[in-house]
Amino acid sequence: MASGNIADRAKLPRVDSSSTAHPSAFPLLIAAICASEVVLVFVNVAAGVVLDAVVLVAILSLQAMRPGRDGRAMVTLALVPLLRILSLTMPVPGIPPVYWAGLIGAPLALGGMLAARAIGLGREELGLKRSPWLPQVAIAALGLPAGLAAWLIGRPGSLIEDGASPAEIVLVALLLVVFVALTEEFIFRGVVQSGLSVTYARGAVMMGAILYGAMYLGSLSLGYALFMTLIGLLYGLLVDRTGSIVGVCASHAILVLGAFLAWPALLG
Amino acid sequence: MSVSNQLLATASMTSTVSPVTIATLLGNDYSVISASIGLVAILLLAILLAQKELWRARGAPARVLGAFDVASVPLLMAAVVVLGLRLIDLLV
Repeated sequence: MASGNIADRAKLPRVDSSSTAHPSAFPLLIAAICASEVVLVFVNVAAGVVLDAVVLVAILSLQAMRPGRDGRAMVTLALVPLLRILSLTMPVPGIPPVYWAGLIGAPLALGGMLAARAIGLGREELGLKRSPWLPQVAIAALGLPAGLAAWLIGRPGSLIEDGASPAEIVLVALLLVVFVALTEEFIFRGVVQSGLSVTYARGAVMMGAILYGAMYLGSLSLGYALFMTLIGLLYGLLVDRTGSIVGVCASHAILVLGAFLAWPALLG
Repeated sequence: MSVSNQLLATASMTSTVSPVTIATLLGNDYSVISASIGLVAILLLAILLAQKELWRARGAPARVLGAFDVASVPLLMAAVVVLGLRLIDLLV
């Protein structure tokens, strides 16, 4: 396995903490994003969206005021409040909710690509590179027990009703894989974690996992949100270790197919 | 599609589509959503576009300006899709 974090692998110049204007800005912004999500979920949705918008403007203002690489890395954090704003604005009447993941995921993935371009992350830094296949297969296989655990903790019902046609099942499975598993991994492990790694050598994985877990507070299950935080931490460490997001993408795909389709049908 | 809204509300536990987002969007009239969350999104888009132009006027480098596209382009895309679908809905 290749080792070393993303900044090392890509030979990106990590910002020297002594030359960084305000290194504490990242944890503060992450705390603000988490606080917005808490307000949105537990207090008032509209107030949470307003806070998300304020944090988004603050992130993009701060990056513009900082000439260094940490300022550009900050851009990747903007994707998290953007995710939440899109998730509440893209769905429209007349579009069945089952398609909402696609409606939200497409512009979000576009934002991720633009963030990667803005910060100068190439394919390798995003984890989109060839890697020894055996470790990646082993990582993918983790999706099977993780999917079962996710179902046992969150107890989501099956997305497929009795009598669904094979075409409907395939469509729902495709939406889950592309717009949940692949998009989340690209955004959180590919772009956000890579961006944080430019400034923080050790804390990037943890900060990325906290942001990822916070986005699951909307499940209204603290256990499920904690579990997804741990999944984010595990996937983040594996990506940091192997330098590839291929295995975690496959693992996440197996996880969501298990938790939302297979396990509820088999054991529910 | 054999997936009912009620079923989805209990089944969707992803970062983008969760019980909270579904309850918000299906539990309120669309005009209420448009006048609150939709308005915030439109205002946010306007602020980001204005910010970008202000930084352009100050001679900010292309990379700084490009960072504003990270949020403004997806929001613009969302606005076009939502307005387009609403227009089609009104015309059909």
